[in-house]
Parts: sequence; structure tokens; C-alpha cells
Amino acid sequence: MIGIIVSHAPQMFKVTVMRKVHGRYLWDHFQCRDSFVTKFLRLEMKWSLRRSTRPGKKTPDNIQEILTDTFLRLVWAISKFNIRAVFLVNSDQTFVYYCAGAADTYAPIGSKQVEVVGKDEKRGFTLMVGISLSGEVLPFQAIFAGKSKGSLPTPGAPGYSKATEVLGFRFESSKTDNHWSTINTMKSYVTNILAPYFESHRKQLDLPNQICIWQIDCWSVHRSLEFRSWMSATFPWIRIHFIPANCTGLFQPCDVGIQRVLKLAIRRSALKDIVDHTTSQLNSGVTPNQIIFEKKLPVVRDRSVQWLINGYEAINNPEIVQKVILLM
Amino acid sequence: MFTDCVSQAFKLCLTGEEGCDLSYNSLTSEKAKTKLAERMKNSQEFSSTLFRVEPIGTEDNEVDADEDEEDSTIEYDEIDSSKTLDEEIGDLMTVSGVDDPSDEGEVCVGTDLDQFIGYEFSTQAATAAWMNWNAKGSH
Repeated sequence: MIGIIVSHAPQMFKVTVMRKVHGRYLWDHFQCRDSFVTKFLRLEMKWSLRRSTRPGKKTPDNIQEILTDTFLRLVWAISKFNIRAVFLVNSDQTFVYYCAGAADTYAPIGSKQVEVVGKDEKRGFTLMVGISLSGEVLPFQAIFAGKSKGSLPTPGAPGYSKATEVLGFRFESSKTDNHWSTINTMKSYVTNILAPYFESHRKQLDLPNQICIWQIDCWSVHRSLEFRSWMSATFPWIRIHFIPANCTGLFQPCDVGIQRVLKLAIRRSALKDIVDHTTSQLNSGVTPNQIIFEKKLPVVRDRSVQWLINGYEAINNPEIVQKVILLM
Repeated sequence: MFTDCVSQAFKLCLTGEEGCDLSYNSLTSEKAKTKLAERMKNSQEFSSTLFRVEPIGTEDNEVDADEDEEDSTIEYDEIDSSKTLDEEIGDLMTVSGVDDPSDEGEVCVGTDLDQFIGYEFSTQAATAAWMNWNAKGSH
């Protein structure tokens, strides 16, 4: 939609509108928001949005007691082991789609049992995100489905050097047919990202025996005896603190405050690639109904490297936060 | 005091009780320590969990790591990709009571509307057409 407007009616983006943002009315220009696209397709194309979902998690009945106890366990550990903010990290996994909006499809209004189009479009990868209580963002670990290096972004991908050499991202294959993190990718995360992060601060602060806290959710691999035994044998100085099951939306910092900003930055980067590609096709004479979206896995996988850089910089950029604060 | 996205993420994790969140200030406050002491005094069971590292329950709808990717369900994340990063971070930093900056309340006003030249409309007609269209089928 954006590509077609840019190509055929760019003036639309100059229409002045009044928008309510954070309780204030601001003059703004028209933007091709999701809600506009939904409305256009509903009114003009007679299409309605179909979405595949899964049932939501049920929060425990005694939620306040559970969260308070979790809070107090952290209070105890921080006090007992004299833990500074740099020595507490929260990590969380999230799924990144190559194709924005892959959970949705449109179908004529009234039609029933519509399949979400193109199961292959839901392809993506798992992203492990870590943040420290002191405000640092740890390097990302991205896990791709596949069993070899051929299933990873190539060194020629835009931003690859910056991602791997400057930001320290790790691109790893799951060694399985799906993108889910495994016990081996978890061990790799701890060995190559989490422990080095803690070690660098222990060295910097001259606290070589400092106990550190790693806060994670109760996902099956995390809570498995095998993983916990490996952790206590290999890194006995890293204490795992579990976020109570079904409380991640309330008590998992990554989930509560980070993933939306990160995913938005990734989504916008992915959309920019689509808009650029669409615009270049239109400019070369392709008609709107002949536009082809690039979905080849090696291409979108390579593009995803730059999306991750943009996402990382969005959550790790005090300047953008400062700018937002000044606007408020 | 300057607050970044990450620090704000910890601060937004609330127990439901005033002043108890996952920010460093809250976790190290006198109030938290007093509350801990009370809890330890009143519950031997709680005190015994402090030295152990145990998972607390199992997640509903947990995805089986062995599940074939083709069979797994897509989880919709409800990210509005047309929202700017400034807006999203603004929502995060204002903690609560933020109006959703969607375009539901977007109204066309101002003389700049003349700049809208749809390719099947005249400038004047375009303004009226846009306003009529935008007023249609509102939720």
C-alpha cells in the first residue's frame, strides 16, 4: 500500500491531519497506518481481516502473592550477595517474522474457515534478548532453523560485520528443522554472551568472585534438570531466578518493556525493504497487480541482519529516549 | 532523572503493591527489606525457598521444541508497524494512562488539505472526498 501511494499519489502524505498523541492534539501528516489499510480493504475491497491466534495465558489467581514472593526473593539475593545493578540480567526469547503480518490474511467479507495464507510466510527465527538492571543491552543471539552454516545469514549480508564484530551478535543454527532454541543454543548463549558480559563487569569492578543473577522464564528448556545441572556445574556463580509461569506479561522486563519497541523497529525495517522493493518495481513500469514480494529465504534472512541492528539500536539508544522525553 | 528504555522495563514490572517493582531502587529499598524480614518471620516455607533455585510452575500454551514448524500456531504480536519509534517509546516511558495514538481520532482539518491531489479528483473535490471517505464505516 505504501509503495503504491508513494508511486501513484505521493501527495497523500502531505494531507494535514490532527492526531491525538499522549493526550495532546498535534498537527501531523497523513500516515498509512495499519488501521487505515484495514479500513480501506474493508470498505473498498470488501475484505475482512482473518487472524490465527492461540488462547491467552491464564494468570494465576493468587498473582499478587506470587509476584511479591518473587520480588522478595530478589530482594534477599541482592542483599545477601551484595549485587549491583550490572550483575542482574533478564533474558527472553522472541520470534521474529521475515514477513511482517504473517499471522494475518484478508478474505472477502462473509467467507468462512479461511486458511492463513502461505504457511511458509510465517518463517522466521528466534531472537534471544538480554538486558541488565543497570540499563545495558546484551548482544543478541539469533537462532535459525537448519543444521548447517547454510541456514544462517551470509557474511555478505548488509550489516553483517557490524552485527558480529562490533555489536557481538551471534547467529546460530538450531541443528533441527525448526527455529526453537535448544539446550545447546542456551548453553551457547550463556557461554558466549551472558558469562562474558558478567565477567567483563567483574573484572572492571575488581570483583572476581561476584555472584550474579540471571532472570529467565519457566520455559521447558530453562527449567529442565539437565540445563539447571549444567548451569550449576559450569557457572555456579550465576544464580538463576525464575519468573513465575504465566506471569511474563507482568514480571518479565523484556516482555513488559522491550519487545514491543524492538519488534516495532524490526517490523519497520522489514517494511522499508518491502516499500523500497515495491517502489523500484513500480518505477520500472511494473503494474500494481504484478508486483512480486521477495520471499526467498536466503534473501530475507540476509536482510534480517540489518533489521536486528536497527532493533538493537532502538532499545539501546539513549538519544532517542531523550528526544521522546523532551517531546512529552 | 534520566531514564532509559531498559531501566523503564524493569520499573514497569509491578507486584501490585505500591513501591514494589523490579527497579534497582525498589529492590534495595528499606521498605523492601522490611517486607522481606516480615515475610521470612511469618513463613518458614518461604524462607526455605530462598536458597533453592526452582522453577515456579509451567507455562500455558508452551510450544513444544520438537513441534514441526509447519504445524505450530502463529502468535500474533499486535504490533502496529505504522507507529513511529518515538510514539512507541513515548508510550513506554509514560508508564500508564496513555492515549493510543492510532488514527481512530484522526480528523482532516486545515487549509493544507488543498495539497491532496488524488489522481481521479480535482484538488477541491479531493478534500471533500477524503473527508467523506474517512467518515465512513468508523468503528
